[in-house]
Amino acid sequence: MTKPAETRIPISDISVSRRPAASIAVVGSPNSGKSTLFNRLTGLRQRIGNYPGVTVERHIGSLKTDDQTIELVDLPGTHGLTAHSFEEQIAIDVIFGRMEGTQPPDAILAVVDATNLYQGLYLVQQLIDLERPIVVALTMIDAADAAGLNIDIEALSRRLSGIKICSVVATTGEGINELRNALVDLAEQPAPVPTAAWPELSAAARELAKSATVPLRIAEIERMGEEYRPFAAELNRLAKSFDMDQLTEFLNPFLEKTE
Amino acid sequence: MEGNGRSLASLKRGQKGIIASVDTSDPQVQRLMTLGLVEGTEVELAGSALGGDPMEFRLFGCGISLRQEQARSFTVSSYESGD
Repeated sequence: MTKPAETRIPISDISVSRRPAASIAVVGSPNSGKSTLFNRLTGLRQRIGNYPGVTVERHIGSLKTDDQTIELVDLPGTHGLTAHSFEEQIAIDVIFGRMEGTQPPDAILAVVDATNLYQGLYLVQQLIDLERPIVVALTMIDAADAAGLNIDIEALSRRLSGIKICSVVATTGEGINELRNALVDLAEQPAPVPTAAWPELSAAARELAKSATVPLRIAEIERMGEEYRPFAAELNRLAKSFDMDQLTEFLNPFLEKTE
Repeated sequence: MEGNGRSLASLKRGQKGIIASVDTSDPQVQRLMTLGLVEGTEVELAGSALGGDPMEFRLFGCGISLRQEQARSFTVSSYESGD
């Protein structure tokens, strides 16, 4: 009987698993191509588990660069940051870091289907408001081209607080390298400054938050005393009708007082 | 029905209308608003199933199917007949 050949494993082949340098959440509407893109980026380096207590799969993949590992988390599809289903709730909880056993992601990869821009951009707008580093992957750009849609990426980026937008075709891998490069140092990038839809109102809200000594919940204002009742009632009415111009006009005198 | 507005559910196939107001009392309607069914959006009835429910609408180049009941939460103002 011959002695089995001694097997030697070169020390250089042994890798030590390290804590990932950054964690990036992959967020997008359902069917926007998140998972295809996720698979493209992470290949076979994936772990699949569950979120504690729920049967929604938790896909974690890693993206290896020269000297670090970035963790990508594929989330269930959501149209916005208001949950209407169980899966959406999970996606949102992970984004906000409310999910047990998970850290809030360091950065966000927003996946937008180029053929369904409206819905994707609504979500992107909300994600920008989170003030975390973000890059947008515009998927299905080939289908958009075929449909005669010509998207001016530079103009789009300008309107979205200057965030980076990479057009990709996840099924063929077109544009993936550029996206990968954008993801490498994304967590260190500055977060976008949200473009306020109503600059006056945002300024008003900031001022109010600064000067408010009592929580500005309408019910609490009501409880502050008889003289505050009309104020609370008016706030209530405006909140219901959601007329921003009127609300701003209504709040302005109070701001002048605080200045 | 207020003014010259009519319910989105009353659009005929191929007809376009612009959403004038939304009754947001149903939480499902708020979800539809995140999908683009908000004031000022032009929608077209692409077709409907047998019996008229559900109805498929086109907006921003994509299709959304609604139950008649949900479509009644939206009022459309200017509408024109389809071709």
